[in-house]
Amino acid sequence: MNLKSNSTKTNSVLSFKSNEITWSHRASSDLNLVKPDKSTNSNSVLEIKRLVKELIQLTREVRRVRAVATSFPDIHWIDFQIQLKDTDTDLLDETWERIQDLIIDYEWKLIDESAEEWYFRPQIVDGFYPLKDRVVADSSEEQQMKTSTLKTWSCFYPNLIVL
Amino acid sequence: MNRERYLLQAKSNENAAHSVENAYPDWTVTMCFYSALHWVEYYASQHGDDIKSQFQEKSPHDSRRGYVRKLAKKLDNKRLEKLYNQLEDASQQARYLERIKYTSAIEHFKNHQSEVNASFEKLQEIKDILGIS
Repeated sequence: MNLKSNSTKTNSVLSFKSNEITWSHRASSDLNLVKPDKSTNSNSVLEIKRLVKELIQLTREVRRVRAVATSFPDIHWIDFQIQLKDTDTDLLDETWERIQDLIIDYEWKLIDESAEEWYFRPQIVDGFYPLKDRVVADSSEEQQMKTSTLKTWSCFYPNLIVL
Repeated sequence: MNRERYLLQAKSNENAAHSVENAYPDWTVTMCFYSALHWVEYYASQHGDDIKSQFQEKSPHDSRRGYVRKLAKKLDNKRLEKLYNQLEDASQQARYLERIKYTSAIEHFKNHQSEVNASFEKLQEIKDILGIS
């Protein structure tokens, strides 16, 4: 089968299109990420996603970061839930300070750029509870999409590896 | 008196925090936060700010945190926001055993005296920033 290549991601649904077939596969994820709409400044959501990405890259001690809008559908109040790889060990004070500084830096930058009030709060959490429609950004999203893509393609084409 | 009651409560909570420091360090940490909370209320009333009306749809704790965030931005002092969040975080740790595993809060803070000392230092720093020491 000649599989040409368009794999796209739309609304948590991965769509694969080829000359012969088109099918979709719902990502195996509990995520239901907030999508920017007319009332939401999409640049702000992008900034929040950028912050989540920076937080996950800040230290190897962090396993996952999730930005949760605590007053959804208003997304100006965000808890940044941070899960550590080793939940039995505390972060070094210095690392925790850097995380807080980074979050406040982004918060203030967003306030200045959007002329809106934003309220960010960092939280170390032991785990994540399922949430609907409140997650603005999740560091595991990209990884889950990659995994899901690989599983889907591998399922139909065992020799096909997507990198 | 309306304004002074915050002042009295802030001072009382700080005194209480000192009085139980050795026996109940977990409550010391909590009282430091509740002292900071009333110092913020006192500052707001001094400056004619009605925290409740500024954040009508939020809980009292969220409202105060929101007010502190706005105040920190106004004063251009990120440290204020961070200190208040850290004290609130520590008090939640002490009351709900958040991120404390395998032991009680009282044992945890007895074994981490530096965190108890840090609570007093953070409270003092908040007072210094607010200019109401």
